[in-house]
Amino acid sequence: MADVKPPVGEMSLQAELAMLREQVARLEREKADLELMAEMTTEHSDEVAEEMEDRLRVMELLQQEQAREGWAMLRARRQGKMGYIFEEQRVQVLHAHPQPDAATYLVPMKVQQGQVVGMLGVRNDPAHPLLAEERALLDALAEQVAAALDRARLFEDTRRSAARDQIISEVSARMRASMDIDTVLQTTIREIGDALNFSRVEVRLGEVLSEGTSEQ
Amino acid sequence: MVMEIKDQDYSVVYDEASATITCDGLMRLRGTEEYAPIVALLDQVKDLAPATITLDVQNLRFLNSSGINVLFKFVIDVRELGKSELVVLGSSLVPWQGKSLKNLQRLMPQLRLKFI
Repeated sequence: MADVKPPVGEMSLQAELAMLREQVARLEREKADLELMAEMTTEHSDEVAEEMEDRLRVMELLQQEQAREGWAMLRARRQGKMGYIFEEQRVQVLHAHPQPDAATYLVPMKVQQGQVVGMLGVRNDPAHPLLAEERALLDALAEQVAAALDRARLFEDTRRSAARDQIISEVSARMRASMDIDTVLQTTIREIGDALNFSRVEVRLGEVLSEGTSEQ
Repeated sequence: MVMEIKDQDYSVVYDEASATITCDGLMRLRGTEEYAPIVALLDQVKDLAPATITLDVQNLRFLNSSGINVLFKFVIDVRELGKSELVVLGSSLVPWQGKSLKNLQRLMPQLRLKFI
């Protein structure tokens, strides 16, 4: 047994062995690549998810800002008409914030974005303080009122922007209808003045700049 | 010769004169099947084996995980074939690229990475 001659196919066996070793090396490289790819794919997904969260946060902030602006504009349009008060069976308009007093239970009306858009208050006689369940009912109602107010504000915004779009399309349709320079100019000021209620509108040809406008 | 794949959201274009593959836009295709045409384009470029392949992803603002896998495999294929150098152009303004493009060098250390 000790004196075994090399078999005839020894060289090819060696070659086969080398080939197998190469295959093993390649498979090991592939395995390492796959492991690395899995790890790096997870890293990539985490990165992308983080980026998305950042963007969502920015969008939320923008929405909050938009709601804040919307409410500020709405209050400005109402010209000091702050709300209503119901007292002795009569409804009256509130033009100023009532003085805070201990005998009023006030609940903030919060909209979805967390903004407080107003207050709901009821008389809370110190001699007969509100019951816990009455307070809970008012809290729940304040939430519902806030939601209804926000819907009404959004509806009003939409209506206003639809009205604006209509004015633009009407005015521009009328201006396009004319092929005469003077008619276009005159139609422009008349239509803009009428539709938007400006007391003075001007339109002119040429690039004369008004005072205070700097040339770029 | 110019090879290109264009969609509403993204485009992949190979310009043979500069041996540059440019990927733009948002790539959020689903799985291997939808990425198949892109994989085929990358495969062709690899087989053309120019001395240097430039992969320009500066304007690729989004790439999902199937997409990054396509890039990983392309880098491995170029490395295994061993005929082309690989240059990757990225942008420091696109958040995902910072880490994931650097990771390409873990698959192919000789890959050159340029952030613009």
